[in-house]
Amino acid sequence: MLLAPAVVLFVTFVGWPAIQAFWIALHTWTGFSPRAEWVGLQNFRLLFGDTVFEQAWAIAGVIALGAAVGLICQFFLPRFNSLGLSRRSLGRIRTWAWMPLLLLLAGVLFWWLYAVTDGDSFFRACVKNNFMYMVVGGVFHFLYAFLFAGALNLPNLRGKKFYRTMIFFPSFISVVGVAVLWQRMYDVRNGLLNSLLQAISIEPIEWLSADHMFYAIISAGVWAGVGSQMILLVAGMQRIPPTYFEAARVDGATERHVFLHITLPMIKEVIMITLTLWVIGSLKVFGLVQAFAITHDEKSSVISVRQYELAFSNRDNIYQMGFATAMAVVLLLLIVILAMALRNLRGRDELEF
Amino acid sequence: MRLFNALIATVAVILSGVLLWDLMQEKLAYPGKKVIIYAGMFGPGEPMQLFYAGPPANVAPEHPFGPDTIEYWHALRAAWPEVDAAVAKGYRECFGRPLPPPDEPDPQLVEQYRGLKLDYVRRLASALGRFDRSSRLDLYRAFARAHPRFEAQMILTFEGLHPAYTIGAFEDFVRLHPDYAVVQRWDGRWVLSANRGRFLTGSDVPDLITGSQNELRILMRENLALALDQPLPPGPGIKPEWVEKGILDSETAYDDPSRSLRSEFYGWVVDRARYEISHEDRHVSGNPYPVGQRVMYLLPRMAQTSVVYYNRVHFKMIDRDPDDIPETAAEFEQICRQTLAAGKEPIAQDGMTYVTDWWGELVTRIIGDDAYHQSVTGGLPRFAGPDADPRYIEIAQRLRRWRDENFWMKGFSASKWPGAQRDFGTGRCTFLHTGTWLPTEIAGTRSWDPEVFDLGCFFFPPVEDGTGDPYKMNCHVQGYAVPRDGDEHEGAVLLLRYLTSRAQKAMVEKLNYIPAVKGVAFPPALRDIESRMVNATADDFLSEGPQWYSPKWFKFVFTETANRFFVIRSDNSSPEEFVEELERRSQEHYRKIGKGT
Repeated sequence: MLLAPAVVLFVTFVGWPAIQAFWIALHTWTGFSPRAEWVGLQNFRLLFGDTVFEQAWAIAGVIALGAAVGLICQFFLPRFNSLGLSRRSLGRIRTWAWMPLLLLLAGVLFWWLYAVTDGDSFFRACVKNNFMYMVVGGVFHFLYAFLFAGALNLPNLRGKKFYRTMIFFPSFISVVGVAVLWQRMYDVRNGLLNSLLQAISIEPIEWLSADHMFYAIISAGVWAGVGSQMILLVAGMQRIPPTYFEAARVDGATERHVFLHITLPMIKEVIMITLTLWVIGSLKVFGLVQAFAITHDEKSSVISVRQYELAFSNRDNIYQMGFATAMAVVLLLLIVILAMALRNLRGRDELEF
Repeated sequence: MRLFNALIATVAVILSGVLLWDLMQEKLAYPGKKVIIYAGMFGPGEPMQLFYAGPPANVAPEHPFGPDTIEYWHALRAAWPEVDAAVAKGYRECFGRPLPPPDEPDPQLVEQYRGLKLDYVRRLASALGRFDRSSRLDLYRAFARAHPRFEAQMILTFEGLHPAYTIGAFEDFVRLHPDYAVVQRWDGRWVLSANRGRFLTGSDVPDLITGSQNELRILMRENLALALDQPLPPGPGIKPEWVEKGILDSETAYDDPSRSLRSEFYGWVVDRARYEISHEDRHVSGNPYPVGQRVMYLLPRMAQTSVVYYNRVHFKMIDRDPDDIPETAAEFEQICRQTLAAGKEPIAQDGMTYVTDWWGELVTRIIGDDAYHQSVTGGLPRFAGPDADPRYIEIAQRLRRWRDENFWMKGFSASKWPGAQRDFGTGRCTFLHTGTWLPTEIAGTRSWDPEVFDLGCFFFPPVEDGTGDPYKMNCHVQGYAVPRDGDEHEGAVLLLRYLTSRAQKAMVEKLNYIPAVKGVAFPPALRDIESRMVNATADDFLSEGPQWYSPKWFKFVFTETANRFFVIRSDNSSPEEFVEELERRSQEHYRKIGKGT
């Protein structure tokens, strides 16, 4: 009963619109008048291409196979343990129950990304860019976040509050502000970076050219976002009772050993939550990319930006709400699948301390 | 449980209150007034150029009277010796030098200034030399309060800020028509998207919406705007005269009831503001007018065309008469080579932004608008293959040659708006191809030093051996549409009439845009194209271009193919690959989405 208001609000403002999105994706609709034309799966066909639809049964079969394996491992095997597996083995099987399905889904995705040639090539490029943002941006985000968090957790470091504030400060800036700031820094003719390069007699670099722009955006995103991850990791580290560290040091452990064998395992939960948030955020990334340029080509666009262009941009005078919503549905499914995969990886053994 | 119920009740009351306030706010805020809702594209906050580009060297600071209107400063001093010192101080702050000794001030101007109240004059004088834009609006309001009988034209003499003009215009309108209130919504460039929910639900729909003909086209396609030059079907808020003759022919000019509203506009502008009813408009959207009829849904405010801007200083540098514009494309190329040899960069260019316009210009001049229209919409000639017009590939080769010869500025592939404007306006580049909004856009960032930057413009010249349209121009109209579901049609039309009044003509004049209404001076910065524009007939203009007659082809086929051709990138296509890709993707587009879409 106490949850009712939250449930009502969630269903009204999140659940119902999400369900409606599936319905809108089956229409062509400008969004200006109620008139919409039913086109069935046509929008998805334009996105994925005829090849995918010709192979639809095979794809469905593969996914069904993965789902069946998952169901058996998750529910049937533990209940009817005819193989006489140990409790520990059963636990492991349940933990990895959905992995075959996830691997099969990943296989289908990679096949579509790299083997299929028809369909919306721009959208395919956007999906690749989103994954690129997730992986490359993620590596640098977490690398720096760990470095900073580890450094801030050192017992003898002075000025911790100052460093923490400085590193976290960019997270306060709106992504549009970040984009404008870095656009100025990257400016090929008058930007700060090239001015510095020229000062030491190095040829200017075209940071915002088609080939480099996406990496420039990722770098700006890392600068702006690393503070948030660092704060979460620092909070996780500070929850660890100091006695563990003291005991390890008494036993002669180096700082590296303490970090690898005590800190990391004990903040696994925080890492997984941070990672999940990053994966969801990187797939949904919009503001930073959109604000970096008036238009994006397939080398620097991402799903949300492409969606926005097609659904809302009066510059192009297209207003393809149905087609853009089909992209939103695909994005939603991608996020759900990846979030589930990460949840699976987290396992169920929580460390109590 | 009681606490929970109380919580639920409180939330429900707050939400209901917010909803009620949202629905009633206009009625509550303006009791007894007829409310006109205006949705505008631009408002306080622009221009962004200064923010992005920063003021370059040699730029005159912003100030109320414009860069070359010394007579205003002297007239104000002569009329009000009390503020003499403040005026002189303001001038020094603006220009960094003392106010030059006065010539004989214009007696009419002095007389006008003497008509002001001293309180306002003091305030005006203290505002001189200040840079903050918001103070202008305060100044405007102070003036309006102090001098309720002055009309907006007088006010415009003092003010030099775009948003203040527009807001000031509404304040002036409301003062002249006290029955009305104008609610202004500054929705920015995405004014349509910002109001989409309102159009969809039919609730709180703006009574007037601004934009270009092309941007507001969706309202016409979905039958969401009132026709202005056609008899209207009877309905709520529709005057009987409009049912009989339509708005444009039954309403009179605001300043002179003996003239019709239609007579206020240039004929070619009215023609460009028309929209051709399609089969889908008539039979799917329920548009009442026959297929093929050209209907005017937009009351034009100004027109825009694309030109090649040039820096006259650079022409002098290569020993060329600054008025001697190129007569052919070959001559244009020759000037590019000369300026390059003189150490300047020929064409200012921001990556893909407007770079494809060069393709459009060459195609128009060499192959022709009609033939290109056919190619785009699936007819003949084709871009590549057995039915191809070989000139498409020649145009692509020509553009690649331009790039290889470094006609486009160094690093153009990585430059982002407004980099090209900045580099053109500060004398680094010779040419810039863009729309006629440029002089206004760069007013705050260009150099005003005549030894650095002196603006000229011309239409892209004919191409030797071209069989296309050697002298045709493109033209896009901007203005106001009256949404069908608005509640206050009469007020909206009254405001439209006011917006063509003498005072508003002065406003357009100050903004340096090509006027849609007669009696407005052509922008000095565009004087080179004045005679061709003002004396144009409908036949002098090109069609609206593929961006508008085949928007999906333009977006999904042309732009995405051009991305790999125009700018420098690792997977660049050659001219041959470009036209072949254009043809291949076009065929795929026709098969999947349809021809002419």
